[in-house]
Amino acid sequence: MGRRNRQARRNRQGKRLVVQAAAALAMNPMLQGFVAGRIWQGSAKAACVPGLNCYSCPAAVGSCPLGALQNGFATRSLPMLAYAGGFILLAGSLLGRFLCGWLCPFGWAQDLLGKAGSACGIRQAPFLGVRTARLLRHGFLLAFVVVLPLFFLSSPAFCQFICPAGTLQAGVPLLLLNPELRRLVGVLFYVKLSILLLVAAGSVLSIRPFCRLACPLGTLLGFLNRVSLIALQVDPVRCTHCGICAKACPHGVDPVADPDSDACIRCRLCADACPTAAIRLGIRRQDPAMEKGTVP
Amino acid sequence: MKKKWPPWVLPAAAGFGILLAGALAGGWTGVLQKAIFICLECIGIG
Repeated sequence: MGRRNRQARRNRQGKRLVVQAAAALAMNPMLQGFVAGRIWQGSAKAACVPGLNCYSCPAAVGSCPLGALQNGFATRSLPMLAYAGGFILLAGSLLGRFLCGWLCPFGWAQDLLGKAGSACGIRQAPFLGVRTARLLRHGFLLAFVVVLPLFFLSSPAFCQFICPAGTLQAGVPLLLLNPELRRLVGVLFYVKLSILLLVAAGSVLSIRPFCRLACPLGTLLGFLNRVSLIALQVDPVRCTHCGICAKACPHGVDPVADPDSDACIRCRLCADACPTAAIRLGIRRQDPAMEKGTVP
Repeated sequence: MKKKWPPWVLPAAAGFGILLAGALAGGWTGVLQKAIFICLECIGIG
């Protein structure tokens, strides 16, 4: 029975990887750009995509909402701020951090590295506790997305100094394919490349270190986890408070105590681990137990 | 009994309204202008 459960759990997590791959391809279908070394310039790029997906990626068809938001602050453009901010508010209200767990291409890249680590027998442990990680995330959001672009640099500071997704999707391929861009490379590129390599190594040793410690988009979506349409819900009648779900959560969340934690990326590992099927990921119900009819 | 709206409805409606207002005010053109040229900041040389 235990083996069958483990197999079912692996199958369900496998489905999540397939959804993540499909989302990454849907956001980056112009693969010929990786050969030509040019970025796609169609009008669909005016639309934001639901994930941290660099708009300078040669294959991207849409815009990164975080990049658009930073550019809104950097250029002090209220329409651009409203456009990008409204998109994040709308996407977060509907999906919350389900977007991180199921759609974000950079989250998928980290998950793949984590799987590779697990396959090599590396036991992944989260860096830092939930509170310290939250503090760091909030700090990155405030400093690099709002304060620096708005008051000091007039440029998208998070993209410029940190974003490993931009380095992976745009920096590395574009520099490999364009000799004229390579001539412009300076210290900053190597700093960003080091950040990317650090995140890659961290993803093998720990679960999604970038999402847990730094991602400003995940931080914004985390605020909306408490209200989002897609939610994790615990049936209080079925739950036996055995604590298996909390042990299964790689992000250190206790789904019974706080199913809407801003650290929860809705990966559903807790639901898969629950022996009484008390946890479900789906449309938020006002009172799950009453709607299911388990409470008279 | 008064019907209670689910908690996601208000922020989703606000998000849609703000997004629409930003789009109508031309926010999408700013995003497009940024997105169709290689962002030197994104690739680490800006």
